[in-house]
Amino acid sequence: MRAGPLSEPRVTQLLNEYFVPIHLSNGDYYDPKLTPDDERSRYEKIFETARARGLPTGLVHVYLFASDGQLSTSMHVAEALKPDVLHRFLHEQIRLHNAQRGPTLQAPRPQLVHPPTHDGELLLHSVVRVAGGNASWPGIAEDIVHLSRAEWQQLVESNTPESAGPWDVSPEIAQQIFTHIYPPTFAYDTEVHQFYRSRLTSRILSEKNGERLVALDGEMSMDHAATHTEMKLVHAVVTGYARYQVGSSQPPEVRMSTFSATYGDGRFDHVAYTDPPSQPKAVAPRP
Amino acid sequence: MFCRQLGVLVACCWVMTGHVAVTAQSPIADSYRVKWVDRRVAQIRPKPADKGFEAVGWVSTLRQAFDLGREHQRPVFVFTYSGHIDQGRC
Repeated sequence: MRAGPLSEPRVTQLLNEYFVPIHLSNGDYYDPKLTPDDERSRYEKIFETARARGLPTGLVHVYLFASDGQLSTSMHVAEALKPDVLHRFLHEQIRLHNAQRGPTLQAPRPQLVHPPTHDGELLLHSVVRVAGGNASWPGIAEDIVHLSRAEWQQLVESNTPESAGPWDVSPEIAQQIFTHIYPPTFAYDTEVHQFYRSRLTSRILSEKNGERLVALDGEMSMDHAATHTEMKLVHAVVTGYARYQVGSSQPPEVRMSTFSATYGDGRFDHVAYTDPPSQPKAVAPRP
Repeated sequence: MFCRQLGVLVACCWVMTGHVAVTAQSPIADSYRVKWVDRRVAQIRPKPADKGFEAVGWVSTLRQAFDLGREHQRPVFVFTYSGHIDQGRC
């Protein structure tokens, strides 16, 4: 929905000008720590009312309420995913409820909020962009990776002093990064990922005036089971670099990119970078 | 000839048993690495076109949604899902 109809200007314009839009992640409402009781009651009432009214209901679903809070109708996500269908549905609801056009009631804001970082912690922004094939959904997926100082130090400092490497980064740290290298699918729980191969190595490329440039190279094979009935493997080759002030407690600048990445018969691209990435420099053509 | 083959075999065993840290092979030359990676990050990182979803003025709670609906005489659009739509993981 995010990369489909909910990103289409004709749909987002109607939602902003005629509706009060809200999206709810079911998981947030199962956990009492995340959602107060009264809010959870309102959430549960949606499904109870839909069932009582004999309306289609489901956990991945669109529900439409009248301005007085009464449930009006619902739509299965398989239908709502079709931009034309959702657009027509919204127009019908505008007419049915005699909704009047007006300003956006809540100012749009970034939906992905970066969690606060602790002193010395490295925060990697991980982005996947689907490049082709039918194994996943279109669009992008974003994740945030936190590495403590002890963890990121493995990227830029060898266990053996004076060694330029290469040295292996521990599999646990490599997998913290690699586990987010998968395209958008039904499945989003990285706990179920099973690695068959994960290797990340570091190598000092240069060191000048205390600034160290480190090459990062890796490869991974991981089972990302989008459904319980089939196994699909992610294969990726990763390359990147870290720029680090030797001896500093400040985290390094890190950038990584897949050279190749596949999931089933699909292809995708992945990058990971510390924020904010600077603008790209002009790149000379390959000789 | 035999000695050479034996030497290669011994070297392979040495590596396979973990005596030498062998770097994962990079397909990008070291001299080109930083520029190549920077260009890839610029190409793949999220663009405004990927953030159409964020052009919507989503409200945060059902209470707020129903209060605003009553106050402004607007229908309330609710989308429920599992996962993290803010991350594109749902």
